[in-house]
Amino acid sequence: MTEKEYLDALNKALKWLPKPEKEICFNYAREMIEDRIENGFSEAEAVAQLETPGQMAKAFLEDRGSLKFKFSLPLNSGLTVILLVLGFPLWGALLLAGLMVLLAGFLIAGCVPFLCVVLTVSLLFVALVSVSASPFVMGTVSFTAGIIQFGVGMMALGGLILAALGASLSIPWFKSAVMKTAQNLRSLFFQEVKKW
Amino acid sequence: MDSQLKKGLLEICVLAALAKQDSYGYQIIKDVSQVIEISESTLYPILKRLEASHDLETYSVEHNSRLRKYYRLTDSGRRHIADFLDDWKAVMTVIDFIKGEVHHD
Repeated sequence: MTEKEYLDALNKALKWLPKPEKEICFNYAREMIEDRIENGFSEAEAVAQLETPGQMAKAFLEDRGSLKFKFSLPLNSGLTVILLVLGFPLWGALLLAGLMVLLAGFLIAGCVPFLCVVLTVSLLFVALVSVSASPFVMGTVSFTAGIIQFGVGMMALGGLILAALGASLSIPWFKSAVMKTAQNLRSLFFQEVKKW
Repeated sequence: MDSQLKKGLLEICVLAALAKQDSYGYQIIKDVSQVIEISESTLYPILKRLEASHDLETYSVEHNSRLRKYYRLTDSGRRHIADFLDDWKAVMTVIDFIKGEVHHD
């Protein structure tokens, strides 16, 4: 395994970590490899001396303080607990409704990247068939029909590029929106506990 | 060796590896592994913990057109080593007692 392959695998295994934290882990592993290379080991030997990217990522993730969360609602007073239980029909229904609205919003927003992907695939099919079939149409039906067929293929190709562009922009946007919302929701009820 | 004991010993070994001069990750691994087994994934949390407890501090130096992270022992780190050695004297007294009793039987 090369240094790049090792670091790529580590990067993949740490994909859920926030970027600054990922950078720290990544730099640590890279430094370990490069220091070994400077000490006379070949790139392959240096990488082989390290634990696997999976083991390394596991150690990073296990050690990460923010993996531990503490329930942060003030449930220490008896009155709060009683009020929470009595008020459950009201706040429970509102919470559920809020979550459903949020879920509906995500489903609608998720349609955009989904539509872009479906359009990309189907337009690719249309473009391939139309362009490759146009010479046969020119020969068997008429020249004009063949040209129109070719034009349709080109149009589908243009649409395909736009749809692919839309997919490449909307997928990361949707992913980051889901993650940010999940983090915000979590921070409403849970508090991060640092290990060190 | 008991894992908790090993963890404690590793921390002190890492601090001791920095007692004479500042060092970097791979060098610390080389120094410490002469006496006790240590891997990169074990060293990483130890360094972070010691940095968080101000027993060591870090700085970066440009080395072969890349930045290398160096670790420096602080006064708190030196006290940590001294406390460990004091505690260990007491532990040795207990061990001597245990050995004496076992051999006596």
